[in-house]
Amino acid sequence: MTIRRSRRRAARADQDAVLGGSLSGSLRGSEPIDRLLAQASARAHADEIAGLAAALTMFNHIAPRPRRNPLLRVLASLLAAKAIAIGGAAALGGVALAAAAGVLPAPAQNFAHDALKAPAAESSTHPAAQASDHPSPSASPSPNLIGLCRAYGAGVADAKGKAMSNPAFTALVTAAGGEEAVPAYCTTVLASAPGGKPTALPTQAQAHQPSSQPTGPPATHATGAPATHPTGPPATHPTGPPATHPTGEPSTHP
Amino acid sequence: MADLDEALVGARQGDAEGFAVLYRAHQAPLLRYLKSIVGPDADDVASETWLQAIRDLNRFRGNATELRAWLVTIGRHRALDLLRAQRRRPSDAWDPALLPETRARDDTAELTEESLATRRALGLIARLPRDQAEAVLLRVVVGLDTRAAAAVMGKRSGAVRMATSRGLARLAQLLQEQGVTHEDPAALKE
Repeated sequence: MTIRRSRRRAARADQDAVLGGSLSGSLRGSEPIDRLLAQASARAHADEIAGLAAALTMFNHIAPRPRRNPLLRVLASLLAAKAIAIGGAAALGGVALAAAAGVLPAPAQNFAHDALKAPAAESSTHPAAQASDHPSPSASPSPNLIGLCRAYGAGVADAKGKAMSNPAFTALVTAAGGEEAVPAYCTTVLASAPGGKPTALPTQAQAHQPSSQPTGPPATHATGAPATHPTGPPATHPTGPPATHPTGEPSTHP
Repeated sequence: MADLDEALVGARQGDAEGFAVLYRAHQAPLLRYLKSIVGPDADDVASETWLQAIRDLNRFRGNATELRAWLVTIGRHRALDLLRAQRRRPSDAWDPALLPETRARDDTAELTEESLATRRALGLIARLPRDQAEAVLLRVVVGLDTRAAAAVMGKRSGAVRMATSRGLARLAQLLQEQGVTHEDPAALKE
């Protein structure tokens, strides 16, 4: 009975009455086909949308762009650029790259402190950031300028002109009060810099830091004593056998 | 659809809550449709579909209503890709032995009666020839009109209308046969 009627109706190819907006209306009938279609299009069952959490994880990883703070993305790319620059500098010994590494992230790190409110975590994932990660005490030159002076000193013999033309040195030139004043300025800066004698290859020294003090950064960041930090470890642990280390900074840890 | 439009705008801007709304609204129809094409692989294909949708969300220019058609179009392509990769002729997917069985999964016990009814209904639809099953699912479960369904399937509207009619007629026939052999609905889920 119903089968015959359904067939005839189907053959007429005007199923919109059944399929369209009036689908729910036709459900009042007892025809099995209507019930079947209603069951097939029932609201989502729990087991069907159980993948929501996984989908959200996926979304959060690859979503078009974060909505909260677009700055963080810029910041992340700056930090990444710095890591690359430092890696390149360590490998090549390039003055320009080292300078770029020293100066580029400064605003980024300031933002990091403000926006992320998690400087320790940030710097632990970017070990090279430690040297310049502290807010500089007003009494002494900023670590960035110290780093720039080291980079300048390292490259001055063979690539002075080239180095100074690098925009990365703008801050140094500005601080010195002119390009020709840079050597004298740097002499002063490096003499007053904590840790005393400047190392010839600051970027390599920085690169050693993470391996020589794996547990160091968080606690030392908390005390915020940049005076001992930026140049200390490189000078005392150039090649850093771990055995010499426990007497140093880790003693401040629980 | 206003809520979904809002959710779509949010999701485009990276709003996870907006995305969750879209997922809840579209995942089940998408999954049900895909099951008719790839059976037990539908979950994986649905995940791939969402992955691609998230990536391409910025390029999608439609509204919330069109989003669902867009999703099933992506899903259909991924499903057909899978079938090709499996070197399986698409018609083979309609072998009832390959269809998802409720008893093939351990979670059957946790399923509600309503959920089981949906599975049974989809299982029956999946016994149709593929064009008919697709047409019926796109029209009924996904909720597209004939034109949108035709666009998804890459067919003319007339062909989709015909496939839908034949599919429904065949379903009525299948139901009739089932009604004869399984008067008790509980017998169907065993």
